[in-house]
Amino acid sequence: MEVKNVSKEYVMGEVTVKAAADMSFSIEAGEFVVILGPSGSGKSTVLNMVGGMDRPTGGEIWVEGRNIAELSDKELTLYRRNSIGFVFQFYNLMPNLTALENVELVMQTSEAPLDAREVLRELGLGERLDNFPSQLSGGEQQRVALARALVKNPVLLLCDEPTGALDYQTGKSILKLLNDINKNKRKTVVIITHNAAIAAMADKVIRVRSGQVESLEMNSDPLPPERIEW
Amino acid sequence: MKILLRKLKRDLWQSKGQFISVLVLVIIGVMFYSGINATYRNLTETSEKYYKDYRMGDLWISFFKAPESAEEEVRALPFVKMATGRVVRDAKLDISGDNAVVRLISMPDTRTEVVNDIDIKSGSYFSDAGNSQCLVEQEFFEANGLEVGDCIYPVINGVEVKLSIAGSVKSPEFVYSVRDSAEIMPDNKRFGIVYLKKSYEQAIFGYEGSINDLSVILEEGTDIGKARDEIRDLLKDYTVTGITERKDQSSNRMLTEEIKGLQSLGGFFPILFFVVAAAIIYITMSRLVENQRTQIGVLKAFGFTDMFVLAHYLSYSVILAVTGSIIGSVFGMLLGKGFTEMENMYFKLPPADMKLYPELVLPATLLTLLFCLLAGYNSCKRVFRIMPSEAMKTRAPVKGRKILLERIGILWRGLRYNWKMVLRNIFRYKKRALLSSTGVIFAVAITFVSLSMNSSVNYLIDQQYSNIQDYDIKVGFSRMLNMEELNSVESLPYVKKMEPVVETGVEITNGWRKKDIAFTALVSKPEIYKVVDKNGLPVDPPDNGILIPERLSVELGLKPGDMAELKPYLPGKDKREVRVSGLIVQYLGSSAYGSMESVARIFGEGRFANSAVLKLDGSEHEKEVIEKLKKMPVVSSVQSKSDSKENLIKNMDMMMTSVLLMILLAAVLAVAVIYNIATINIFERQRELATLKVLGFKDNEVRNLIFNENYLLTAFGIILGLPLGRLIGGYMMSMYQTDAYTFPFIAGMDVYAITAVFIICFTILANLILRKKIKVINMVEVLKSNE
Repeated sequence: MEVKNVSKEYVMGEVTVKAAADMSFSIEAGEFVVILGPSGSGKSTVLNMVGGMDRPTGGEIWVEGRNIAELSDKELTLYRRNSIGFVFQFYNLMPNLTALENVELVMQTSEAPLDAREVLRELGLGERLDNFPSQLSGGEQQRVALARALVKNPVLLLCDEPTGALDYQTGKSILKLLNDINKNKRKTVVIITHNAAIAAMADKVIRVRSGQVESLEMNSDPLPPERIEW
Repeated sequence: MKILLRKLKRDLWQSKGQFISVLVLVIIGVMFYSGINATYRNLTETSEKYYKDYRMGDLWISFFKAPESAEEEVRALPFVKMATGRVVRDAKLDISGDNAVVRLISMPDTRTEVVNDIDIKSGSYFSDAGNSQCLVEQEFFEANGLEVGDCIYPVINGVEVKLSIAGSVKSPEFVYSVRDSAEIMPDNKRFGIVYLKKSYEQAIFGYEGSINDLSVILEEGTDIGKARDEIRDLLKDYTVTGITERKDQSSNRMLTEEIKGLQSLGGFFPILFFVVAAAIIYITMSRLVENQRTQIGVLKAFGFTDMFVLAHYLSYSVILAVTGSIIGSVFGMLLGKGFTEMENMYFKLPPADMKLYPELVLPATLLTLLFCLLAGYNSCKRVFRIMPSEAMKTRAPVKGRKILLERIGILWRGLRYNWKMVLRNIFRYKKRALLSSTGVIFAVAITFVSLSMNSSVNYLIDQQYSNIQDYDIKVGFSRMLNMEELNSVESLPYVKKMEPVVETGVEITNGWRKKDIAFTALVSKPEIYKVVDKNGLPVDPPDNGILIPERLSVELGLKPGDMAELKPYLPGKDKREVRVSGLIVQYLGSSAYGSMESVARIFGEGRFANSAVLKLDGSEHEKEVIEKLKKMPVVSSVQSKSDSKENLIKNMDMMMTSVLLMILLAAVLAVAVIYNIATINIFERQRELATLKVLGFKDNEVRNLIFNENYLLTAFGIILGLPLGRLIGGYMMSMYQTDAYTFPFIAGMDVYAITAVFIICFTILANLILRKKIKVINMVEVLKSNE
């Protein structure tokens, strides 16, 4: 995936806010990438555009040979549906559906989904299939969300502060799962966070500040998540 | 205080769509409350005043012939305040290229106070200038484009008599001028009242020194039944043919029934809207309080009292009620004016007395406030329970729960996820779903009732004018004709078939219950003038016994096989016992039926007829045949079926308009309630919907989550609303049943289906309005934290 000279401006009445200016970076298949930045740095803007929720004002975003900056609303919907697996800070599960149903829900819209029970079982939720989100702990909910993202076998796993709402131990266990998914299943994982400690486990760290890429560094020897501390 | 008002204003602005839709319901409720009540008051007050000013009678007594002294005899009775003797006869009249019937009524030669007096609208009362002057009833006068000074030529005893018009008049006796109680709609072109000088009318009909009608006003507090019997006894030597009380007098009865109908409609209809408005207010306010619990906690933490906070939230209801009442009352006054004018197209009451009723604003406002505050209070009372400390807590997460339906495994597993979510959501907010269904149920019921009324009236017209009256022309004779004389009518060119008919008045008695009705004798196997049962199948008139309408059998307590006493209004005839051999359905009029043979047996007469029905070769010769008939001296009236049918259908236009209006109101009800509930639903599930969008669900897939819920509630509303509509419709139709006519209640599968289609269309409409609300949900919502 390649992000080329991307800029984003929001026009709010008479004020124009520049959320991103001339951002460029690339992500290789199978990489574990952390996009790091404080709040307001423009990292959410990157998430929105890479995730196909919004289009840049200028520049190109190439994913699987397509410039998604030029896709129509309909095509963007299909892109989100088929290519991206989202994991959110607050899980965003459907409160009305059980763990299993939450995962099966997205299978409906997917072209070649994996087996929902199998995925949930792999994530340690084999006993909790029929529980509703309100009956699950935060970590369990986040694992359901992870299963929901994985089941459609996406090109890219896009995680927005996946540990932000979790306690230290649970947060670390989620990071471990993400690391396993990256290493064992060769899935590209992108984590967007303000937590600098997480950067230590990444293959590539992109630091963002004031809507620009501040630095881009490769990590030749990433730490296993068990050893990260914050 | 001011700041809180500002907060209220902004809260309102944020949910302006909801506010407006509830406001519309309140406005409609108030509008109909004040509009219908104003019409009701107008009709009541105006008619009461009119009756009093022009001395409307309490009793009408008719005879074949009585000396004028009968008037004095009656007047001498202690309970009689006033009595006026008259000669009343119908006559044919050719006018505006049509054949009409006029009722000739005598009036004193010089003006004196009489019972059933007249109000002169143009011209003047009779002068000394000549005998052949007349006063013409205003509606007939206008409908036929007559002028003072014009002449009309009614046929009296086979001779055209020239009458010059001295003026046009109105009388309380004929505010609704129909020929007899079997006619539903007035036909002002073909039926009218003409007043003649008493001496002149007596002379032309051979009634010198005699009268055939006595109108009586009783002293206040008189027992009308007793008075009736005493008068009948007093006048027994003069062959009384009928005594009519004011409550049965056709004009007055139509008016009182309409007033009664308005009264119940004016109470029932607005309440329907208030209930739905209250339901929406309840749901909206509950949601608002729930979402603002943090703010409520903060306000309380800063020392605002419970009452103050409650008052703040209740002001939403107050604003709705007050704004709604004011706007509704203004429209209501206009509506009242419109309704009154519309009613007065049929009831010709003096228009000068029609008023607006600003004093109705207060009860309307109070009623609205009651509903709005009740709903508001019930939803807001929980502010008392919210502790300031709650301000710090986050809200408990929404709980998912299994629902009963899931026990039925096969059914549940077969459902797709969006339906599972829809069903669980509905069952999670059962109260909300039920309240919103109320609105849909009412909308279904209203639509069903109006459509079924339309279909019932169409059925009635079809039955009456195609099945029962399959003839083209009905002729009335001025005396009984024997069979040879009838042959001269049958042998007229283009007459394909003729059936003789005997029509007379009878008094039917069963024990203490008695009733004045008509008696109709038909041929044994009638083909063009039939009697039918409730399935519309013909019943042959019996030779030995009578058929009576079902409602009469209920009223008199007569079952088939019972014996009843019949006393014909024919001179010199006594009571006879007859067997009730069957029950029939009679839509218009109230009559017992027998065969021509039965007339001979019951009344001891030979074969004769005073009326006949004719079927022609083709309708194109109708005019020609009517002309020929009118030239026959023995013919007293000629009625064309197509004319009466056309008149009825013409008047049905108004009904179509009210059917459309009712459906429109049902649409407002359904759309408002669905829009509101779905808006709340969308608001509360913003995050879910945004997540689905991000996960790549297409717009229509996201929409269907909300819309399918609406469709499900609509289906639920239809299932419950249709039987409710049937119930109300059947009840309303039975309310319309009177001595003079029965409305069948006909609601075929088509009515059910069309109602369902209408309601589904309303839901689709509401969904179309909601599309935008779902479209604008921002995907970035998913990144936000829980509030």
